[in-house]
Amino acid sequence: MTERPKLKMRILIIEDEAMIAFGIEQTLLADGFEIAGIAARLPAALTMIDSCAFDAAILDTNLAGVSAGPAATALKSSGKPFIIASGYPPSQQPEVFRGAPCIQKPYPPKRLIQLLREILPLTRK
Amino acid sequence: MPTEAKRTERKLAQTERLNQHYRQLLENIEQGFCLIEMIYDEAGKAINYRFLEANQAFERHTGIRSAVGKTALEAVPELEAHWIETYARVAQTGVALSLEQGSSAMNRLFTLDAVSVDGAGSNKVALIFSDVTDRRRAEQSLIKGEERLRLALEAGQMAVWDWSFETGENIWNDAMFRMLGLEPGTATASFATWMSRVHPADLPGVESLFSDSLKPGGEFHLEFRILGQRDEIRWVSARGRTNSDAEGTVIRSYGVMTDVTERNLIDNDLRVSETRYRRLFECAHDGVVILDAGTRKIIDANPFMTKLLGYKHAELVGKELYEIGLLKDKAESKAMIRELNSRNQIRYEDLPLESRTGLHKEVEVIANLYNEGDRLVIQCNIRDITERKLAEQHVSMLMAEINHRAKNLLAVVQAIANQTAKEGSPATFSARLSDRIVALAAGQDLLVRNQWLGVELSDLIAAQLDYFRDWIGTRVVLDGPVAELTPDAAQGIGMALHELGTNAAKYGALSNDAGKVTISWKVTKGAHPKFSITWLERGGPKVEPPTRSGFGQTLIGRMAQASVQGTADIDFAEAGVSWSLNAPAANVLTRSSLGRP
Repeated sequence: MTERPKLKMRILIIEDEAMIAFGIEQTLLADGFEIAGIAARLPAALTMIDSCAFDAAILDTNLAGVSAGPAATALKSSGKPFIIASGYPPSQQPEVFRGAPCIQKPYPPKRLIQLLREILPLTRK
Repeated sequence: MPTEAKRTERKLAQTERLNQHYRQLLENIEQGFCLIEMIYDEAGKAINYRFLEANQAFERHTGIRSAVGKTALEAVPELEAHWIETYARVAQTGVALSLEQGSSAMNRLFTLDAVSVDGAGSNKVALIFSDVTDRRRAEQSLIKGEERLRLALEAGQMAVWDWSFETGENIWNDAMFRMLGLEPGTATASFATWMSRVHPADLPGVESLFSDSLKPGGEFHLEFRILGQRDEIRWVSARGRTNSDAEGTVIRSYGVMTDVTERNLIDNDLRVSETRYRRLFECAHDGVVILDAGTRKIIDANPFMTKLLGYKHAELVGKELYEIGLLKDKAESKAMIRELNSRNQIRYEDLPLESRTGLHKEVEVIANLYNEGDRLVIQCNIRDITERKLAEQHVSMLMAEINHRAKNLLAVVQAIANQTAKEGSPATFSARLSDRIVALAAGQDLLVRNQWLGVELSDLIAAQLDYFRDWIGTRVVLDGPVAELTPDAAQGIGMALHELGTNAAKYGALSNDAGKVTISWKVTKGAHPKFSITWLERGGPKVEPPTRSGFGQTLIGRMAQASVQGTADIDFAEAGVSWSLNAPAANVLTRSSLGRP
């Protein structure tokens, strides 16, 4: 078991559905995380991955009809851990999303927190 | 003495010449000749005879070689006793005998004259005879032939007429009477009787054709209807001929008539069947090719097949399946026939096919092996399943998409529920959650109805404010152009409208009897059009700003903004609440709606 990090970890939310993004945000805030940003479209996501200070990301695979594949690639090269959150089961997801832990919508908020703690580094890099 | 001796000598010589003369004659006649001498036992009973002389024809008529010197029983050991008895009688009585008699032992039939040589009491008999076996056999077979013909006519139920114009006699067989529904012997065989049984409708035709045939060498063939047994209408085929004399006068009309009703029925059934299956073949929306199982070459192909492949019918005929791009090669073609021979039917699913122009098609092939008359053929039904395959792919894509959307929607519901839970008591939570889920569902309905492409804004407003539908046009005024919202915008704006409506009914312009809500929207023109929508309440109770910010405010504020990447403003003025949302039109409206002039 990993221990809960002492510093507040900053999470980047990449999710096109405003209501879901809001739900994730509320869940994370309630659990002591900080929100690094919310990106609803691919260009915003790429910009934020590049410029935001964040410790981990939650990535939807489809952003308003556009594949979030480039965001996954950018996240991989950034070295930051991330979670795939999608309505599609892992078996139906394109190759580019493989490798990252996956959580299928809808999911219990606790499960998201648990996964985040598993992937997060103990201290901020 | 010498004179006497000379006379005797002359007489002898004369007799000898005469003998020579007869001998010559007997030697050369057509018939068989022989001189026999009877042989008796001690009791004086004739038991055999010996051939003393025989002419050249003897052997031909009897089959006995070098008969002279032999006894009859030596020549023919099984010879019937009656021959010996007959000749013995001739010898004893001296009475000549003519007879026709057969010998089983010799397998021959003879006509025979037997003459005693030296009168009564002699033991020598001369026989002149002919073997008539073949002649009799020919006569017999002639009789048998006639019998056979009669039997054939009866078996084939052929009715026969033979009308002599010289005697006026018209001869019918029994079958003719019966065919015409008459009892043999109760009616006169005549042309009038015959015509009386022809179907009235066919009578003129029959009469004229029959008349035309009455000329030298005239023939007559016609199928027509007659009245048969119990006046049942039957089809018959009549074939007739005429004979004429040396002067060319017609003297006889004869012919046969057969009942062809059943045959015609079968013919008709065949024609119906041919027409029906030909139409099936011609009009089928499956390709059909018929192959000769022996040569594996195409014998026939239907029009759809030519369309499917782009080859003309004539180009298909004579080709093997692999030559039209259906099977890979000759080996595969042979393998198919081997398998068909053991199973009679094969089904190939997903066989790739290339048309003449190189167009790739997915086809399903069902091949059947069967006998067509006396040759073995293979019928291949080729169904173009390219579209079905595409549809299948589309359906499976759609299923995945629906799954994704359903999951997403549930996640939205989950988020709403979690947020709603923060407001008040469990009872309040339950009521609010229900309302919000209903609002969400109303938006979904519209999306599904429009194939998830977009939602007409006025429809969305009507759906979200369904509770106030009787007031629409009076207390709820809508004002704006036709505008189709994207699914995201529809959800965000829809939820905001729902919250605004709920608030208005509880505390605002729709909570009293006089208040009014105006919802107006517009799209600006230009290279970067902007969309704006405004909710304006007037005439309600005096507004008091809310003391704390609940989830409802998140929905009309942040959520609405996020759904269109725009800005939302809310103003709790005393005169009434006003709310507006502004965003680039590209984030709000569907492409088709944007493109509208």
